[in-house]
Amino acid sequence: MNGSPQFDRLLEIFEAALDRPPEQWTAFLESRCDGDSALRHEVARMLARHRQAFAFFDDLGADLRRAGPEELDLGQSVEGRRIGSYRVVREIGRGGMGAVYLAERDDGQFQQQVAIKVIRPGRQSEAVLRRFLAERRILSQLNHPGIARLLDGGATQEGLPYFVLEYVDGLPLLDDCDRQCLPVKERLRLFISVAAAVEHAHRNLVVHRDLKPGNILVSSQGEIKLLDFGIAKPLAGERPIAGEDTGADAGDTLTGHRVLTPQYAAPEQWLGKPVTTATDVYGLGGVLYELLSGERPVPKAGSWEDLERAVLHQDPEPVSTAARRSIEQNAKRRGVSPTTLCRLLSGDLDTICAKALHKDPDRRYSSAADLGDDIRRHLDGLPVLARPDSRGYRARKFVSRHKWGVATAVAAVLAAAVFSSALAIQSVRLTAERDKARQVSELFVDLFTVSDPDLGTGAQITAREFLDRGAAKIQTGLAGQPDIKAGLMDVMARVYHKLGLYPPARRLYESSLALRRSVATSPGLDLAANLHRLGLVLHDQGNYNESARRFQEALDVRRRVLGLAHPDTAATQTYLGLAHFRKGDYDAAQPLFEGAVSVLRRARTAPDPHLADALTGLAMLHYAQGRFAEAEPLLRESLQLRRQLFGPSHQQLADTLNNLASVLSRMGKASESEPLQREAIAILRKVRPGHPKLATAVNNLGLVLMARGDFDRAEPLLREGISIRRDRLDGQHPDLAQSLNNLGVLLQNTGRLEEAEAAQREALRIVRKNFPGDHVAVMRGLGNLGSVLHSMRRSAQSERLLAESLAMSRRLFGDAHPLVATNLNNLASLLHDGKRPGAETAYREALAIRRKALPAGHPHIAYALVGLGQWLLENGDPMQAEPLLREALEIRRKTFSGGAAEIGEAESALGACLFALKRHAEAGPLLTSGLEKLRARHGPGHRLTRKAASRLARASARNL
Amino acid sequence: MGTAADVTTLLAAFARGKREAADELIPLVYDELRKIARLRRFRWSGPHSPGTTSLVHEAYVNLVDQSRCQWEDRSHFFYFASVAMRNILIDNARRWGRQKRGGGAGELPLEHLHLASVGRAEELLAVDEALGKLGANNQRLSQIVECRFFGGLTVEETAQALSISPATVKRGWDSARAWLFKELGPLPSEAPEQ
Repeated sequence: MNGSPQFDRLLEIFEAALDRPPEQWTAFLESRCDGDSALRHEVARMLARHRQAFAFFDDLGADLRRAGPEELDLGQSVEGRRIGSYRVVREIGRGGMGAVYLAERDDGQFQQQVAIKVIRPGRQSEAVLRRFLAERRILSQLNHPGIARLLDGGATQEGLPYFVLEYVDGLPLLDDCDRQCLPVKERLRLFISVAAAVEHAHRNLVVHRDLKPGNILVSSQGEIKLLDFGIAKPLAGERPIAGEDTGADAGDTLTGHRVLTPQYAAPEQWLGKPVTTATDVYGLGGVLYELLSGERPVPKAGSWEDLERAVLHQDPEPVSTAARRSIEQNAKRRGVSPTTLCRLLSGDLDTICAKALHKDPDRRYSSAADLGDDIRRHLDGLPVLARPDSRGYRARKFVSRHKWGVATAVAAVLAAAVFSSALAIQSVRLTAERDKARQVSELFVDLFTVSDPDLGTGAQITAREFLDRGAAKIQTGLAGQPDIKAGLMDVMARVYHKLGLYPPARRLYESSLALRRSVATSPGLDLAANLHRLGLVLHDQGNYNESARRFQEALDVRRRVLGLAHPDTAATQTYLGLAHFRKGDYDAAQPLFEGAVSVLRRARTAPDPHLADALTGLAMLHYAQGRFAEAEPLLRESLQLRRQLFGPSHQQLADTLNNLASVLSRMGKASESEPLQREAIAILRKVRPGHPKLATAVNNLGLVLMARGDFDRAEPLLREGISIRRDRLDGQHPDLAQSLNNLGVLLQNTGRLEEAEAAQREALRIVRKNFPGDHVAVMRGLGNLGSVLHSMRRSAQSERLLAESLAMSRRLFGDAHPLVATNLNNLASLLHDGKRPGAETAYREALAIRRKALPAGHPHIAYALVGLGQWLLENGDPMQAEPLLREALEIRRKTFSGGAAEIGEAESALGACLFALKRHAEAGPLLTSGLEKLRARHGPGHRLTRKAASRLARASARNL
Repeated sequence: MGTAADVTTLLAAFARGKREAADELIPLVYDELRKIARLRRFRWSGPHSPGTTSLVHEAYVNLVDQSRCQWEDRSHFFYFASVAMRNILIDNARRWGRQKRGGGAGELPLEHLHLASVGRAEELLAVDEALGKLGANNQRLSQIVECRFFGGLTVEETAQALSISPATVKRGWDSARAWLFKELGPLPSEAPEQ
């Protein structure tokens, strides 16, 4: 056996160290290496990265033995087959043109179940293929919790197209409702979310055309998912693809293709007339009808002609009549007595169904949203739109809504006329106000009367203790005064919320809300305010879906009572926009923000805090979509308002400072950004120590410093942010993920790759949990983890992650967004290292996007330039590379301070390029100064330093 | 040539100490591995994923008359086959490298023996180069890497193939990976932007 004694010694020390805990390594190496610093250094390097080494070899080894291109013969059993990065578990459905499989991710990255739809072999006629691809494209435009989300797509080995959808583990709508014996109210609530999903499709110019209970699943979490856009079509206005049929397809029914389901099809579909959103309103009407009565609006059996006659000419019987057909069973499945069911269905619901199912599309609800809203009004006991607005009807509604109040009023004031009852309620309320004031003061006296002997004299009681005791007293006391109790809970909740103590705040708001709902006299505006504030807490807790629901409800009330132009309505509208924004639903957010800004600007007399909020919201939306220049003036306006409103030290002022600083930093104006950031932190340390908002501020400053390469000052800030967020938010909050993300990037930049990987994985796990479909945070998590793995040489995993991140960013933002460029550049860099030609295309696309989307001279442009320039140089085209590298160097000299490694990297690259062009005199100084900078910043062993050194050595050998 | 009996005889001869038997054995193993790999391209996507059986196992089953074969022969075979796999893979990686340098843009056609992703050829060559250095310092470690990494053998199989204890294999595999990775150095990459 050959070998060298030094090597054996190295091995021996390494193995011995590996048996010891890492914290002992330094001392152990010190004692065993006898002052041989080269040996010590080498063993230390092996130890420091041994886990990475193991992972790298696992990754590369798996790649060596990886399957070739997959085969997919759908004629045989498919369990265990791979499609893309998924492994098929079983078939879950089979239709005329395709089959649907349940599958799991097969890359060991995530536990994720998906549904994969594949065209069946032998069925790929041109028409089928076209429809299949149309469905895929339509799904890619839709992004709504009520619609099964498109995750991925591609073609199998045989060239059969497939796409990957979110897998919904649930039951069809009717089965789910019946199995759970869901009461009518709950059924209606589910239906409202179905209507919302359809409305989302309509807003994206897609008509489903085949709405029926079987195409709606209810997940195990009780959420609805709209499926099967197989015959959906883009509305006019959508640019038709050349040669694509966007017509009504009525003829296909006759030739036997499954293009519509006769029992659920609307009259205009039978007649081959144009299909519009009203067709889906009809479909929704059918779903509602069956959900309520268990019957379909047209007969189940019968000849084709009977069916046609029924659809075109017979009005369906009222839903309450239809329900009588199997009344015992229907009542049991809805948890009520037969009499109650009849009463519940007759009236409003009869009318709503009839309006939705009207033969004439123009006389149906004008949108799915209107239908949903009318159901909501019915649930709230408000007049529905479906009925002609007679005075008697309105009065009946009013009395039933205010049953308790009206009765009291009648007893106390003996009001005779129906129309004076509103007045009567007023006077009852005045009396109530007096009582309320008295009870509140008693309660506060009670709170201050300290009964605990330990706290009796002199001892300070903290605000928190005071609050906790107050909250407990309110919960148990005031049993006979729900109204007052709700108000006090609301006040307490606001205090908790202001202190950043979200869980007790949320509990109290929910209790007060439940109380207010239980008391029929509760005026709408109190309820709306309560809903609004609950929405705020939920938002701060990161629960954006719930939050949006509350704001929406509050908004409906305020719109109705106060009107659209009222500042409070606009305030709720702003926050609803914010919740949608956080969910990633930018399309829903934008009109809300814009509407609020315009209302508030018009209404404005003095500096208005709501206007500042709305401006900030709109600015954040612009920011998220890369429109920094549009965000900046809005934030400056908001900042000015908040300075006037709040003086120098207020949390909201700090928020705006923060936001403006982020925008400036993204525009490359780091020096303008930092003072704003520091002002924000100083304010928050004073007014909100340990508060999640402080975490946001320190995190952002950390980012600014990081962008300038000042990692030493950035790291403690990022860690402070994480520790606050871990402490004050639950471990699943998206903001915590964001902090971890940033720290991960910093760790990666400073060479601590394993820690970086751990941080990125935790971050990704959190955001995946929060946002199951496409979301910018998930995209970022995938990209960042991919980038760390790239640094760790785990290219196979890295490439998959980066490609997934890229695809997601395109789906989310289209092809021209700076985030798409970031993903492209990261992927290009990976391909570049593997010397794969795809790198050039990716660099070029990244560069083109950045030049268009970012201001000239932005540092991110330089990244793409350096990458592309070096690629061209290495592939024998120094002529093309030179101007790119020169521009990159200019940008970096302007962006970074004198000795920065980034400048060194660009100098060395340009030097090598000039040398290749035989301009030796110019090349020499650049090669030298580039190497010096890299050596000073990264040390001699860094890959970039070594690359620069070898360039200089080559040049010297040949010339100097 | 190439029958099960020949291979068994050669293995037995090698086990008795006839080193030159290896010279005849290697090409047989080499051919068989290439053949299986080409066929397996079309079967690897089935329920038996590539991880469950290594190519080396399959070559053994195909080549060796197992009724006549001793346990030690199997072990020797596994080592030979691992070395053969290394040669095949590195050969391919070099060819890809050449084609890429000469062949301009576009990924390589798939009809080539597709044992590893084309994109990792460079890395594979770097590992091979470092492995050469490792072998010069400590042959045992480089043999362990050949069996575990290129041959896809388990710890137990590697221990049998090299007639050493499983504990030695584990230790050696750890040290070798750490050392090789250190030799490779990190890759630079653009840090993701926020």
